[in-house]
Parts: sequence; structure tokens; C-alpha cells
Amino acid sequence: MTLMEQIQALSDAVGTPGDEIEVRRKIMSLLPDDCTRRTDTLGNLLVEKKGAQAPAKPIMISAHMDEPSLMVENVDMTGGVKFSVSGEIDVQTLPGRRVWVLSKGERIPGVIGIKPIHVLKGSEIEIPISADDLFIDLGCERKEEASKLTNPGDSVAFIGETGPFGDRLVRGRALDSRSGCAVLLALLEQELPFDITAVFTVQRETGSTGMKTAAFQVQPGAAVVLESCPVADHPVLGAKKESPKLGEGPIISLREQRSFYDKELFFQCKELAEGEEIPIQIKSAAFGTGDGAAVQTSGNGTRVLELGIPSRYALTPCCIQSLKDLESLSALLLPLVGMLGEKLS
Amino acid sequence: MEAIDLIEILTKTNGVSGDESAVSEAIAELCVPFSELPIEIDDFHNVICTIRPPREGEPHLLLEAHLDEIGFMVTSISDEGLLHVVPCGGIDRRLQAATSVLVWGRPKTPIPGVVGYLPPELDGPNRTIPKADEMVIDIGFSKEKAKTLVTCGDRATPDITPLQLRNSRVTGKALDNRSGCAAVLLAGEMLAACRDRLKCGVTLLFGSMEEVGSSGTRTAAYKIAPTHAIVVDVSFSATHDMSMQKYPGKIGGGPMIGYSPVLSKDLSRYLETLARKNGIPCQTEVMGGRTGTDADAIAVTRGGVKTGLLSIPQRYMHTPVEIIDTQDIRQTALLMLFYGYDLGGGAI
Repeated sequence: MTLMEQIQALSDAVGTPGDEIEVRRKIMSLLPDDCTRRTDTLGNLLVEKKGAQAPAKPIMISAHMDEPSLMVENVDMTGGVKFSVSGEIDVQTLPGRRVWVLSKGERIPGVIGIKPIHVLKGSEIEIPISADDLFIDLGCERKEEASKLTNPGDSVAFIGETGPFGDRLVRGRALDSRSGCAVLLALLEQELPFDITAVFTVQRETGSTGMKTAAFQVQPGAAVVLESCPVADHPVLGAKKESPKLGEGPIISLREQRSFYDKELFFQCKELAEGEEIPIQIKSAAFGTGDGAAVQTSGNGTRVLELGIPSRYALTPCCIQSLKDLESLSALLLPLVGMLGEKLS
Repeated sequence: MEAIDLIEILTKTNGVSGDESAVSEAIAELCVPFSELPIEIDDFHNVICTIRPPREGEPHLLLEAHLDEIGFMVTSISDEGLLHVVPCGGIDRRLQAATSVLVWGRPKTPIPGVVGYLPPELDGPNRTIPKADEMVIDIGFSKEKAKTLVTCGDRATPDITPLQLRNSRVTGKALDNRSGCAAVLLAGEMLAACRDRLKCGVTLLFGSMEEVGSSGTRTAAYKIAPTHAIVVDVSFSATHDMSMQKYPGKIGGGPMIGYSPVLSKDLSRYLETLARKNGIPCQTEVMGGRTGTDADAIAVTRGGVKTGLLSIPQRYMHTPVEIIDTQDIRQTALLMLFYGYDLGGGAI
């Protein structure tokens, strides 16, 4: 399987926070045979792979399996499905989307519509959308019909197709989680200098619940967290903060919204990449969140390195990433395992 | 032909106002089995299909639906390779951000794109709805490469195909007004089957550029010179966020028969009676002024044309998630069949 095919296969699977089973099964089917694997209470997938040596303390590398999504709250009189938001979604990007309501093992298609511009009054079109005003339309006639199809608590995922785009790019749904999983799977297929524990986490979108408990179990000496990193690299879009760029390499983060990452690991990784001539970018601005903060404060505390995958239109079903960046990230991970193993010994 | 199959075929292609040739060709091909005369695609991409030419002194019925759709038009390519675009027709600026589109420079191999969007983390605190001239399409290529793939004037549409929902309802792009085209095609097919018993001329017109002012239909209707016309378009079916009193139309409730000063009241009343008599569910739609459809242009063609309007109820008009009910298409076609059958022999 090529990297593109792997990403496509993973992003076609649906994994909403707390309901990641489809993605986990897909990952398990793609894992090489020489890995031991275990699914924990919350649904994290913990994979161990032997390397040439055992490090003094575990090296943990993680990617999350869940995607931002919606959850069914109830059905209104007209058969419209009211929902709440699970994860980091920009409500402004919700209207006009197609969704699957995942109910009783089925994917029921629906749409999120809003009243047409023809019937808006005055400057109503300039008013940003509120999630409270939105419903999912399954095409039902009345409340009873919709109530039979769906129940409160059902997950709702965005419909989208993943595939090649532009100049060696990929466009698709749930990329912010699945491309990281694909890169981690690629690492597990290689001969490693040290043992690693690869963790595919659940519920990252809703507060890193999975990572908190996974880190407790692994007790890593050092942790590498693969995340997507939003970029707005087209000046014409008018980003208010300086943004990393698509295609210029994985992003080493100094910080995110909730936390500052380990400075020593940051500089060592930067030096390593420079030595290996792998392009990297630095993110020092406080945007984005990730599983990193949850590992950092787990148990006695862990040194954390966050590696970001530049993502245009992140967290929407039309996310764009660069194959070049994903390849660079893959190329960086192998020597990084060596470096971390030496450091921990 | 089944309504759902027609929707599949008709929404696969690009038909943004002024660039309708792909959809015109698709429609012309569908007309071949029942057109009596060679099908005409004129310079405006109007498609004219003659079911039966009028004999001397007979009335001449025009059944019309516009074939164009709203979309974007590329105006320039930025140094970063982004496509600057302007709307063709009434684009809803609220729901374009980070949506998939196809740029139709080459009809067989459109270029996938995404409407540019600034995520909240990188935007300022006061987020606003983008202005019409602020929208861009990202195709993921450098300017040099983009210039070889895209030309100014190329159109873009949502990158989606129809999806069936519950109760014979379908969501997709351009259901405004390919649903109307499907109804006219179905009516044409049925009228052609009883051609020998008709007492009027019947011509089908699939008009261009309705979304930007009905210029296609205006000129084609002049050429066809009908005495009577029924226009099929979509209209508002109320949703949770609309007033049911002001917009009583119901999806799945059958065609909405229009009443407006520009429409023939007699013809509208006749259509209502005909629907009741034949068990076709129908609704009424009252518009105090103009109709905002091709009917406004057709009614004032030459010395005036007795015009009726049938609207297929639609939810979320001018969005990529428009919904229609294929039963409504079928019922609309049936009503036109009955009217065509009566015209020249009792119908008003």
C-alpha cells in the first residue's frame, strides 16, 4: 500500500470521539505481524514493536484516531435532528455539509441546511451562524419517522472523499487524525534501533481523554505526539498570525494553547533534522491543541515532543496536506527513535 | 425515464450560467428519442426540442425549465496559485468556506479545488462572513502550473453527486433547476407518446442564464413564438427556520401552482382543476409581484404569452445541499402531460 492508499483507507473509516472502533479495526488490519497489540478500556490501541535494543524507559509515539464530529441530541417536531458538537469544529463551516448519522450499525445520510438567501432580511446574511439554529435533515416527514431512525447519543460524521489533489497533495476528510496514523503505521513497518510503544488514542477531540489514560499505562520516558497543525499560508486569506506553510516540512512546536513543550527535546530534534537534511518548520505561536499536554502531566511527568503535520482547512472535511511533509515526517521518525533511545539510556 | 436517473445524469456536469454547453449536450441527448425535428442547441446554449410542430391555427405550448445553475467564475490567478472568483448567480456566502469544488476548465477532467478559508485560530476575534469578492479557490498548484490548467472565465461548482435521502428525497447541487429539466423531459416523453392525438404544437425549451437574468430564455422564446407556456422551476419549501405561514410549500406535496400578476390566472386555475380531476397532489404559491423565474420573460415575449408556473418544492435553495422529492418531479410532469393533451380541445 502506498502512503496515499493507506491514508485513503484510514480516512474512509469513521472514528468519532468515543466511537473509534472502525478506525481501530482498520489500523489493526494494517499492522505488521511482528507487533504486539492491545486495546485498553477506553479503546486506545497500544502497540509494541521490538527494536535492536531496549531503551531504559519506554519511547512512546502516538497519533489519535478520532475526528471532530457531532452527536445526536434529539428530534424536533418536523423530523429535524438536533445535535451537539464533539470536538474542535468551526460552526461556520457546518451549514451545507453532508453527514452520516451512525445508528445501529448503519450510516444514514443527511444534510445540514439553512434557509435560502432569498428569504433573508436586510443584512441577515452577514450574521455568523449559531450551532443552536442548525438541524440535520434526513428527509423525514415527521418526528416519528426520524425517532425510529436515530437515537440521542448517535454519532454523526462528515461525508467526504479523500484523494490526490494539486501538486503532490491530499484532500479529504478526517485527515487531521488519519495521516498521523498512517505515518505511525509506516514507522512500525521498519527495522527500529530501539523498542517503541505506538499508541493510537481515542477522544483526543474531546479533551485527550484517551491520551491521559494511555500515558498512565505506558509511563514513557519520552513521548512524541503526531498532530495536525492548522496553517493558513496564503497571504490573500489574511491570517492574523504568522503561519507555517504547506510542503515545507513537519512542524516542531514550542507550545500550544495549553502548554509549553520540552525545550531540550525541541532543540535536539531540530538539530537532528538539520543534520539529516530533513526540512522542518517551527511553530512558536499559541494556537492549536493536542494530546501533548495530556502526556506531559501524566504520572511523574514526561518530556514531550510535538510534531505537526501542516494542514490547510484543518478540522473540516476538506483538509489539505502535503505528501512531501508526510514523507519528511516519516524520514525524521526513524533517526528520532535512535536519538531518544540513546538519550534515555 | 425515471426522475432519479435523470437527476443523476443532469447534475453530473457543469452548467453554470453562461457556460452551459455540457449540460445542454446532455439534455439534447436525452431528447433524441422523442424529438420530432432535429434538436437545436443555439448560441446561448438553449436547447429546443420539438415534440409536435403546431398546425395552422393551433395553439403552441412551450414547456420550459432553465438548465443553468449558480456557481463561481474565475477572474484571475494569484501569485500563490489561488483562483480569484466571482459568483455567477445568487451564491450563499455563508456556506462556501472549505467546501470541495470542481473547476471546469476542461469538461472531461475538471480540477478539484477547495474554497479558501481561514480557521478561527488564525483569524482575528471578530469573524465575518466573506464578501463576494473575497472568495478564492485553492487548487493546490503553483501559479505557473495553475495557468496551464485554468483560464479566466472557467466556472466552478460544488464537487458532489446526488445522494438519496428518506422518502424519495434527493440532495445534491443544481437541483435548482435540473429538477425542472427532469420534469419537462418526462412530460416531453409522455406527450411524444401520444403525439398523434394532440391538438396543439408542443415545444420543450431548456433555457440558459436564468440565474443571471433570463437572457437565454428571452431570446429562445422569441424564436419559438408560443401561444401558451408552462415554466417549471423550484420554489421554497419551508424548513425549521422559516415561517410556515409565509412559505407554506411542502416538499413531497406536489407541484406548486403559481399565482402572480404576470401569470395567466385562467391558466393557473385550469391547472389546479386539472390536478384535482386527475388526482395529482398540488399546492399553490402566491407571488404578489414578479415570479423571479423565466416565466417573467416568457409572458412578455412578442405580443404576450399565456403563461403558467409550476414550482417543485425545494429545501435549502442555492446551497450544495438542496433537497427535492422525485415524486414532485413526476407529478409536475403528469400535470403538464394532461394540460398538453387538453390544449386545443378545451383547455384554457
